[in-house]
Amino acid sequence: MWTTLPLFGTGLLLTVMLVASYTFAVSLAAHADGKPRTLQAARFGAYGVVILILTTVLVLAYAFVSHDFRLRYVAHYSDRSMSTPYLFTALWGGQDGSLLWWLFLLSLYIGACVKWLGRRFLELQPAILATCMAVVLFFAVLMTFSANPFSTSIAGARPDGEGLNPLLQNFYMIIHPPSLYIGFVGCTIPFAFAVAALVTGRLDTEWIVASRKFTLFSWLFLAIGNTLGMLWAYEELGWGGYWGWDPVENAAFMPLLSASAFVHSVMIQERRGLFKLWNVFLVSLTFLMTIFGTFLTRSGVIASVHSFAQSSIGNYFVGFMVVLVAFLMTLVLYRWPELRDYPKEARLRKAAMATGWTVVGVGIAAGLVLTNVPMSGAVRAAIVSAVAAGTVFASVELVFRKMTAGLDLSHRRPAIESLWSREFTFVLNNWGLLGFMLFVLVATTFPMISEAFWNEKVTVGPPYYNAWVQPIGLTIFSLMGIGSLFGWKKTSDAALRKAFFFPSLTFVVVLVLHFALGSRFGYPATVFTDPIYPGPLGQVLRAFNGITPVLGISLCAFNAAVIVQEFALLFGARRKTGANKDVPKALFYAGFLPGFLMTLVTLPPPSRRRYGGYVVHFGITMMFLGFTGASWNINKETTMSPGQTYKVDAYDLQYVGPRMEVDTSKRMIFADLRVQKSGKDMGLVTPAKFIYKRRPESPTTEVAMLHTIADDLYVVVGAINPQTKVASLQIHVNPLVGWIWFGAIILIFGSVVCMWPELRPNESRAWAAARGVAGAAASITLGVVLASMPAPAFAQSAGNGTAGASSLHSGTVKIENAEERDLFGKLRCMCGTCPRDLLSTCACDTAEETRERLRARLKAGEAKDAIILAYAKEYGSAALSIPPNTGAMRAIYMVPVAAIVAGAAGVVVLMRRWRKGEGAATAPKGSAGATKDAKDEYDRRLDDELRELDD
Amino acid sequence: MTESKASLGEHVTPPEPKAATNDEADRASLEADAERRLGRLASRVLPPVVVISALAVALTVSIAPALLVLIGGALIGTIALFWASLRTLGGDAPLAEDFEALTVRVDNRSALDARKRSALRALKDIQHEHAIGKIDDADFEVLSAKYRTEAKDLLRELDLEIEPFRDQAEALARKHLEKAGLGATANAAKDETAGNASKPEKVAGDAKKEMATDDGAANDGAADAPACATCGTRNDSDADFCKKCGKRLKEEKAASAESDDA
Repeated sequence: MWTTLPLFGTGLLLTVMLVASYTFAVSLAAHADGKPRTLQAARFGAYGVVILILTTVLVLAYAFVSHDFRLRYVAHYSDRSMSTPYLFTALWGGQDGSLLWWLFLLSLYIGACVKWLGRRFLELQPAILATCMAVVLFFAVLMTFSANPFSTSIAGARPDGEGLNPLLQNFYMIIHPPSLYIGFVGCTIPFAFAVAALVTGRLDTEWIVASRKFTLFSWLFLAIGNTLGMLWAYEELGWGGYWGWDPVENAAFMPLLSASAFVHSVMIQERRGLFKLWNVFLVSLTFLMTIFGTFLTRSGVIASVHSFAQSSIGNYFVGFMVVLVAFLMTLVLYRWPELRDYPKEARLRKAAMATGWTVVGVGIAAGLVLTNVPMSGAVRAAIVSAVAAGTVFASVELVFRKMTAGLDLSHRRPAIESLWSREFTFVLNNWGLLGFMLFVLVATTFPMISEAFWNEKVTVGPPYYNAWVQPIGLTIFSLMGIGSLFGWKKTSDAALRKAFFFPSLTFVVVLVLHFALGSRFGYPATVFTDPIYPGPLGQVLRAFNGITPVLGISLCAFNAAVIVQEFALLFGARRKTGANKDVPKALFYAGFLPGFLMTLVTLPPPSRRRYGGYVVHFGITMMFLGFTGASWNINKETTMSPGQTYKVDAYDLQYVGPRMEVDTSKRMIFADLRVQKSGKDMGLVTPAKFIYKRRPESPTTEVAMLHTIADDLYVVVGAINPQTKVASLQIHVNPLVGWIWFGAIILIFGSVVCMWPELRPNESRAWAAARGVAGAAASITLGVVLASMPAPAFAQSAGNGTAGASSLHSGTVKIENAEERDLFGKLRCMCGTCPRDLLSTCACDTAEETRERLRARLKAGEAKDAIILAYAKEYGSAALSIPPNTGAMRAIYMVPVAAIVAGAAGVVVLMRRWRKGEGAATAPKGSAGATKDAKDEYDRRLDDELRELDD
Repeated sequence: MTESKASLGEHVTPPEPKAATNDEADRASLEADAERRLGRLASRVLPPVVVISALAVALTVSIAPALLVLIGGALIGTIALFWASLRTLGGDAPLAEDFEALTVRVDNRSALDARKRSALRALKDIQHEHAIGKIDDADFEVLSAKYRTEAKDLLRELDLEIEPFRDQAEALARKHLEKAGLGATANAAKDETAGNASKPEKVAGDAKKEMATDDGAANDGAADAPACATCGTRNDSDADFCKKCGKRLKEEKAASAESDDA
């Protein structure tokens, strides 16, 4: 009916570009002239951009609802049979739409931010608006020229669409990103505040305080998004696990790590004015990681090693990131004096910029030369390191020193009182989190790097990650608890000993108990697996991974003890000062929790964030408990005839028999299993195969689960023989998995406590509480709804039977014994269409054939290692799930390990510097004693200000 | 947190719409008011109207035309916003009253302020850590004394820094009050029985006294402000209670009126 709709849609996108450019320009003008009038015009413009983006989304929604199959996107992701809610979910079902969805969420954030800013932070506002508009502009350009959801099919309108058809193997690439978008997109706002601070030179705590709520909100949704991703993988993919270290998952995980580092390190800047540069770096890194993550998952660049065609949007992302990094670098160098507390001399700014750009220029030139000269990997690595070190040294010595000759570069950077302080443990926390992020980053991009540098294709599969992340993860986890034991500024020695006593005791007791009793309950203290590498490195990793279970459980106990102790100290202190009386006793008698909650939300804001943070830590502790449980996973494969019983761990499964149900679109074949746990009847579990009329050749697999606090019984039916009724089943017992989801709920709760709104002057406490509850409930509900909206999209894809190509959800993986599982887990399916799928999880036909072939060789008595070698020889090292520990391939762990060690060296240098300043900082000044006795006018004012200080 | 930051956009003396001296200014001010009202009305009425009509269409017809209604409404909204933006930029549209009174450029006093805040924050932290036993008494004494000294030094520095501004502000206020004083003189001339001060100097003097009690905020109606019977503080002409001591002013007025009648 609307003949020019595609044109109208594209026109709207172009208009978004236009008006975003206008608002960008007006914002810059407002920054330049400083007039409220110009700023107001920019604010109106920003609102206009928000509404226009909403219009664009509505037009696309209209195209879906009115089945306008002239649009390629609509034809590709919907059909006439789809009901309206499914049509709406198709809005972000594909790449083009999901970019529009990204833009839409960004516009919501911008709207909320502009509204919230109101009359505040007037000097930062223009630059914040300009930054947001620049990001909008990028996405608008990207969509208009490369991923336009309004582009038409060359063949014209079709009679019907293809349906929401994630035809590709990687359908959960479509599922994951939208649920993370809220967190991803939210990172733009703190970044915009940081850029505004850099542009205006107001680099004190102002921008951090201003952006705090947005930072916490984005962090929370990154965490929720990651957990939802895990939940989805667990519930739907049917391979028994929840985290496969897929590039999509990693892309979502990395910003969470850097954002976690950021929310901690800002506290030091708030308190001591330290780490200005570091915080700007972290928030920029988080934003870059969100863009980089989208690039990774949307451009197909990682999939390119799996011989996929590269999408052109990758180039736009690379371009954007280059411009972004160059811009940020220039800005940071320009603000060098402010960031590093040097005198604000123009000469120093110029020197910093010249030095920085010399390093980058020489680096790029050297890189270009080096990549074109043929040489071995080791020589290249040596030359790269030498050139990098030489360039930095020469630039600093020749450019910087020369240009700043005669300038007084003594700075007035504040010192800290003591290394035994929370400040220092936060530095350690940042070191750990960023080290972890770098490790994941290198491993995720390694296929790309190795192809570019060494022309060698590799695969980095879950076994590699699982072996390496345990030491890193547990280090960060232990730092989390240790850090909480320290106080700000300084922890007195005796207090520290006292603080460590109870958690350490708990740690030791649990450790001993676990060693003594673990095996009796089926949770042995150590679980050793095959080393991932031959040689000493493999043995070291194996040894660590072997003790991970006992270490994980004991550290969970340690962390829980730390948190309990902290709360006990808080309540003790409150009782002493009588602050407890503010909370009605009845609330404590009504099951303690209401009183506890009331106490938490009525704490003054800094304390509320601190103790809310502990609640978040408690959630993370529970999640770690769940992760540790994976050490004791039991995976069994069996075939059963009706009436037979099979015992796995404490479970007795009796196969009742197959049962078939039919509805309009499919036949459902269930394998009914009666389950008893330790003799107690637990009911029926009914794993199933769904055979859709439209795709009878690829039946889907429906997982059946039985959740308990101790473990999950996870049953998948491989195949059911219609004649003999024999079912082949995969049975997983996954201990403690439920704690992950439970921990995530606690984490959300803790984050809400941190974000609880401050009491406004002239506002009653009851009203503030109501506002807090309403705000938190509304935003969490909205967020979870937006995040989980892809659920119907997925249900639909399975529902109309078009998910058949998703090897993860359909088909059968037949594994007969543990030896096979181990072998298949080390090899990748090489059919060319299943990216990174291992033979142990891939259900495509090629994988099935390969498994049969390898099974025959195993049965013939061939050794596992020999089979692996032969497979690698046949398909190249890309066929191995763990990159070989040889030659240049070692870079995959050498680089992050070297960086982590260098980071540790940096921490030591910082420690020494702080230690030097320690004495000076703690020594009381002469005047301190004098003023103590004689209270003056300023003392009174100080006390007044202290009483009023609430943030 | 945000309230104190709000002071960044410091209030310069709000240019109150003065009693119009000629018709043109009067009309312009009326038009500006009308436009502001129109803007407020549009922003409050348009969204619910569009959403309700879309819902009505969705329920009575179908979802596709309802989307068209939403699209139409959103487009009107976009046009209105850019119209507002361009007119504001061109200087044709009036700014919101409170926005007009702000200035984007703020003196960069933030460095000292930030240091003061972090010193205060430090003191708060030390108190909390001491309360929960992470810092013992001896360390607490030392640290607390150190940061108190630092914070007090900073308060002193801040005072010194704003000293010249205080003079400036007073000069500005005096200038402003001289104008107001002229008005007051005119009023006084009209209504001599009110017994108001007729000398501008005295008005300025009173206002200065008031400024000291009210953080330097100049008060427009200073000249005819009622003084509190209890503490002598001058209040706004329409005040019901004294801003210093909280005593009721109106009752006094009423009482005095009654006694006059009697």
